[in-house]
Amino acid sequence: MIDVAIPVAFLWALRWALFLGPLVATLALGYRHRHDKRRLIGGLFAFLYGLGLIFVMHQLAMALGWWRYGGNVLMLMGLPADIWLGGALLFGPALYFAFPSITPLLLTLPIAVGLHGTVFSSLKPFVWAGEGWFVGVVLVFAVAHIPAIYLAKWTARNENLALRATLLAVGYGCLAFAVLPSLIIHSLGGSWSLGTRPPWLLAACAPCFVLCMVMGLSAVQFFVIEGQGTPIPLDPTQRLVRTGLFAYVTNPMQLCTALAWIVMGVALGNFWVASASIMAWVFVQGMVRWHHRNDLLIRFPEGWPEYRAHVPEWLPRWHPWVQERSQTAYDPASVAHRWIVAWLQRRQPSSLDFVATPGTQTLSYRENDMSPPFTGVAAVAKAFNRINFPFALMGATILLVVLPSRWIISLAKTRKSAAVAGHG
Amino acid sequence: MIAALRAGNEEPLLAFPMTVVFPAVLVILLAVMPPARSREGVLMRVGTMIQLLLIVMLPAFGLYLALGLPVVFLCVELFETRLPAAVRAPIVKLLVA
Repeated sequence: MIDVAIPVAFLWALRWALFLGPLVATLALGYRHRHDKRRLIGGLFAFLYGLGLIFVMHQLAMALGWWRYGGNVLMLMGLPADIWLGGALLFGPALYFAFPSITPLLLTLPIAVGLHGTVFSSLKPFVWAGEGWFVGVVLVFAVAHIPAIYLAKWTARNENLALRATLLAVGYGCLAFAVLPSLIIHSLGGSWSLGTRPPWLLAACAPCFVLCMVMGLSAVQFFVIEGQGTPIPLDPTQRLVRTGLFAYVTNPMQLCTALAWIVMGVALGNFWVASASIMAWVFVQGMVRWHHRNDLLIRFPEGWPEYRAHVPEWLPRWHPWVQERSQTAYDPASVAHRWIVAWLQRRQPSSLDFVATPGTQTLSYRENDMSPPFTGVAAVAKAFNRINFPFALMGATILLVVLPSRWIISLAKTRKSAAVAGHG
Repeated sequence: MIAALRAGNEEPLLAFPMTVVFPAVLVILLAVMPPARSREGVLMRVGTMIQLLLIVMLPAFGLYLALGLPVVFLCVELFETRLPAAVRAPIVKLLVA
């Protein structure tokens, strides 16, 4: 490891270069790929993901004493804003545009080990490396930089929809609930400290915040399952999503964001963070409605106006607005199936038919011909969606746990069987 | 910036790429982007460019202006959907034509 004294003037020049270098590289390489729209969108997503995750990971690193930044220019919670943006550009669009076909791990490994590993502790007074800084560098690469480049790659190739929607949701979560409140606190006052807040208040806010997250994440999940797309209009859904929480409210993600900011504001005792929810409303009135008119109305000229006429933007309906009947198939010989069906029937779900199918091993739920069937616990969770809004939230919570778990298990099984076949 | 440097204050120099170059690059990018499909799109682009120029010109208010960016979109929406056509048409002619 190299530890030399570098002149301060050189370090300030380095700071310029760390921002302007990635900016110029991104612009030049982006211009080279200007006719490949999906590649450019991939680069933008990688930048936004990196922006959120780099900020959060650096806060963690500074809190754990892995490193800290010197100087007081353009600092946001101890992080130089230009270095932050430069990092998001470099380890996102710039590297992806430069080497689109190289595996992100191979692309970043030489930088992580070669550059950080050798000169990181020589950058005083620009960066002060603390104990365990290399673990921090590895973690930042593993959580922020490498996934950002994968996100760009998958978006450009239109593959791994579930994973890229997950990364977009994580990136958005970091931007909305870490970066934006930090900017508000930085400019208008307050702090992230919860130590002085009443414990009962924090205990009340925590489940409310979780509920908001369920609402937002469930919306993303349904965009993937039903819509075959992501929530970002640049990488849109193929079908109009009207099921799940969308049967109750047209903007569950914006509602989640606005409510979460109010909850955070109450928890932090910060009026300005809570009032960011007004900005969510402003965003819906300005940007989202424009998107609805110029995209959804054009792509779904019949479905969208009808859906919009029945489903409110902000205040969820009590019962779902459903257009098509759905079916739950069960085995009449099974006591458990009969009990679940009777329990569901007592709650009078909207437009849900129960079809006795002798020999059915697991309960199954089918929305329409286009959407995939749900089985077992997931089928019950989907049926919850037809009862009322609180039950729909319960069902959404179950689906957020069950479906990714099943996907991970099936992936592990596939890999295991592939490994066995390989040995065979 | 030069006066500040002579006085031993390197802050404006260090902040220059982020506070001036970056918003200026964004303005140029918005200006050279392919034409918007709708008139609202054009107005939103113009509004964003004005907001970015304000960020460059009023660095003390840069962060507040950046946080208030969605207001630009709301203004365009209200302009397009609520303003009487007699008032709207000449302004659009001035900005879009």
